[in-house]
Amino acid sequence: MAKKAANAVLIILTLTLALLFAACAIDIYRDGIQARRLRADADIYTPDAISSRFRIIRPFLASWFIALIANCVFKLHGREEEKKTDGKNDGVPVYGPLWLRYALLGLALVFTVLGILNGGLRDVLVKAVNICTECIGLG
Amino acid sequence: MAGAIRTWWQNHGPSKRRLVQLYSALLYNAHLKGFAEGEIYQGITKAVCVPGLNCYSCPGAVGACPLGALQNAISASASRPAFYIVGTLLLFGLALGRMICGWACPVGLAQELLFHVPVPKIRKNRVTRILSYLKYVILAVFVILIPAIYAFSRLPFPAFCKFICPAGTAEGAIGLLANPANAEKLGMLGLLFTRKFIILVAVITASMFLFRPFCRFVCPLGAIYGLMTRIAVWGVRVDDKKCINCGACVRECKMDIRHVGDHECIHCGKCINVCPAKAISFASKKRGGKKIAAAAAVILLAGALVYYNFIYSTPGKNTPPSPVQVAGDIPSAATGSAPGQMFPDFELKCADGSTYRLSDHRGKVVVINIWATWCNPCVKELPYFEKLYNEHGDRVSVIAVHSDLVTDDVQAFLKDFDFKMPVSYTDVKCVTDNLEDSIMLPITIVLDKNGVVTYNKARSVTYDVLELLVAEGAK
Repeated sequence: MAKKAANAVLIILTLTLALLFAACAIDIYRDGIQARRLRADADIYTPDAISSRFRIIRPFLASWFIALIANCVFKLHGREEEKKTDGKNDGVPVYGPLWLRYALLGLALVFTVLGILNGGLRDVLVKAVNICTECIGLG
Repeated sequence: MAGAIRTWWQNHGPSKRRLVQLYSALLYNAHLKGFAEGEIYQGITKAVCVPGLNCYSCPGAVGACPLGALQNAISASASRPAFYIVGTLLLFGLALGRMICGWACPVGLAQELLFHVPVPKIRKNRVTRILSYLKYVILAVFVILIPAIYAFSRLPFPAFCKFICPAGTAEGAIGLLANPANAEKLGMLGLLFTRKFIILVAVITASMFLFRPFCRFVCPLGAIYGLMTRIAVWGVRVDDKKCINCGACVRECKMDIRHVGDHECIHCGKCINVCPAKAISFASKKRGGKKIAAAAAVILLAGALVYYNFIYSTPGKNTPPSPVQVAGDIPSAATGSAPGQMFPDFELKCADGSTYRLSDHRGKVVVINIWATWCNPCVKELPYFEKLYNEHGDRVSVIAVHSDLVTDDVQAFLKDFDFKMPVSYTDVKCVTDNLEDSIMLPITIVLDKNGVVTYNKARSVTYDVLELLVAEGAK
């Protein structure tokens, strides 16, 4: 009974936290859009907006950690090893022929050398040492 | 005493696989000081892809992400075939297959650690098995098809990085912006970040209930390696002469495998211990050389940590600023690229052969756009600057400066556009060297009529924003 209750508390807290994080992000965005209606270059995410939302999340986060630690200390969770699937083996896999491995290995080496010669290596470097803001989801 | 410690370690310490996972995560992100400084590593090893999924915009990353590099190579395939990254992925796949997912992927490690959170677990079932094919759809659509379509219009579009990748959000966006030194850059976050943040929260939450949900259902890199897993050199192998088809291995496995070593198998080796017939083992298992390999690995990591954190220094850091020529008679102490400072004078050769000297435009509001052909938001906002130039050219001076010194791509790129505004791509260091941080693109700088900086931010702008900034610069 205690185990079930502890599990239920942890599940509820985990899902609540996830929803809170997502809801706060949406809320910040909505407020930011309102600000942008008044001024086109207004920031959407500001340190103040983030910290004010984090203040709401903080007690839930603390509760989640306490529940997590209590769960671990008092071993309220079930053993993972007991939960096996009922899967059956579909037989041993068929491995690819060795000639294919060596043929592709040769192709890979040729491609890599060609790539270094045609500027592909430099392209990777240029892209990796700079930050395209949109590419990492900044906007 | 030593025996007791060894016994305790064997019972409570991390497994060999966990140690390798931690090792590879640390090796991929050996530039630890980047987290403290809020800057990314910009050295030569970034030209080399790491095998696992690790965002190259992470402050600690010392190598390139193979998935990001693949999308960018496909985006640039109109100008050059993606030989290098395809060859690299083939080499990784042929050597290790999906063993990379199980042993050398930081995203996989993070999910496995989250799976230890003691909430009830959702076991693999028919639905998860069907969902495991979703990653092939994501590979086809977001990694290959969309970047390839946009490649025709010369618009770089790494769709997976942009819309999905939680590693980019966690390592690149949050990893960079969590540093107080980058607080100013928070302003660039918008709808894109909000969507990706929700995806990240979903992946983290799902990882507590499901074993490696991102790897099983979403990761296109795992899908690529999965295609090569049957011809990979290393990995677990089943001896068909010994196998009794009891299914113990499949029951033990948390991935959606049908049999050991298939495209879903991440070669973690957990099945080896449960096989009653001892039919499963690691292929290419050499008897000797383990200690030498371990010692070499430790030396490599130690060397990497020392080099990236103590020997390597970020370009432009710890070097005295070069003397700059100042437009007009403003004291040189007031020069710089921060708002309120006098932007140093520069002279650039433009694509049409003309010369652009900043001091010649005194009396006009000057808008400087720092862009690059490989930067999607940069390319998208170029027309706004062109429109600004065409509509307000009498009172506003606009110049687009390509941040990269390589010219072949830019020349080819500009042929497809008919820009009237000055565009410069040669010897641009006289501008970019004056910027405190020119690695984050796009950058817009606005100078007032006296050449004083009124705006300097790395973020996308719209035409409305440009008009607003020009109006403020004209005050």
